[in-house]
Amino acid sequence: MTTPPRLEVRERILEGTSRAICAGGVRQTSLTDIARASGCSRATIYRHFPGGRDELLEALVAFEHRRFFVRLAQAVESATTLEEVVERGLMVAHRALVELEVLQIVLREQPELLEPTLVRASQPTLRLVADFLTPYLEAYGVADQATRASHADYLARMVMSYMSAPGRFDLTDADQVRDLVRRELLAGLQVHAA
Amino acid sequence: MSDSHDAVAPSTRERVVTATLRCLAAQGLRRTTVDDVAVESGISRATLYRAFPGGRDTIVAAVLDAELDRLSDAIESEVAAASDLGGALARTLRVATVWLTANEAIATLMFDEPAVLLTHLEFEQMDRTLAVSSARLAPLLLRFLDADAAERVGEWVTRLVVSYLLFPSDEIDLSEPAGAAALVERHMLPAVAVMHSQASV
Repeated sequence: MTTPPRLEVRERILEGTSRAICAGGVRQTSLTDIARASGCSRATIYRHFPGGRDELLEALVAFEHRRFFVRLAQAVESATTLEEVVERGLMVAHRALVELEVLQIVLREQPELLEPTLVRASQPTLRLVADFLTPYLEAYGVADQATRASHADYLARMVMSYMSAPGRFDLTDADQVRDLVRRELLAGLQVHAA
Repeated sequence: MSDSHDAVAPSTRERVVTATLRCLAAQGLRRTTVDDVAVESGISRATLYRAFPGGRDTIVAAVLDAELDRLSDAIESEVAAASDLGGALARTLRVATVWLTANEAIATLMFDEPAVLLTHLEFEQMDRTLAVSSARLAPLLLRFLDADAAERVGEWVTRLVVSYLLFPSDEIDLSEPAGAAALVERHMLPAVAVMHSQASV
């Protein structure tokens, strides 16, 4: 595709939107604010997001969501074992979600904006995390492919559950994460086919 | 707020809960007003506001409490009939899933206004949901587990029910006894065994 410059503008607009929301909240942010924050004219914004503010806000959630998972994958790239990838993944993901201010603001002010990404597209996200974990499960010793797929699905569910809501665990504490991962999440994975 | 809860006559409370559930099932949360609840329950607005001074939010909170009580009762009687931990966990997963799936108010919310549910199932609100539900589940599991493991497993069960409800799986159907049992045997019991052996060292 020959669209890199256009993508750059799109990204700049989305990043400007994110900054504008962090500064003034979702409801208060107008297209004019977004234009100012992104350094683009309103006409340029409409060219990229013909649906205007609504389309832009939905695109922003999808953009942050994708960026979150790309960064997460980069952060755990160097992990070599299943324990390591899950432990580091949980810690990085949790910290990143807490620090993703724009997501917290949207969730508080206008949660329906999260519907397309967090509800309707959540199944593909689960699949993405499961696929990412599969090779680590193989290295962990889960030789049977069907068992591996079922373990990957289960682990992905638990990882996604914990990263957004840590419950009784403090995911900033490496010892607690270690305990959670080894005594609960991985302790329930049989290496050999049942 | 809890004072006003105590002051509401049980029969009024029950009528309001039933009426609100019917409104939620028919039109979701956003469109349900105190007026709708008044019409549906046959209780005047004035009486409703006296019983639930916070208006709609207080009514919805009362409905949530009442529904959680009903769900807890359903789970409690199932767990009481279980002879071992595996059976208790599988029954809990299945009853909670069947109950939540059959609940028309929840079904409407999930279909029309998933964001309303989402706000309770993600981030800080989910932590609150987990705390409430594990506090209710843990005592039921004390027959099989020590207090710490019971709380831990109570939270874990909640996470599983929510996950399979939000992202249905082709492989595991928690509303079926076989699906619930498979999940418990495959993933929960081996970990619980480790939890126990390490706790006793």
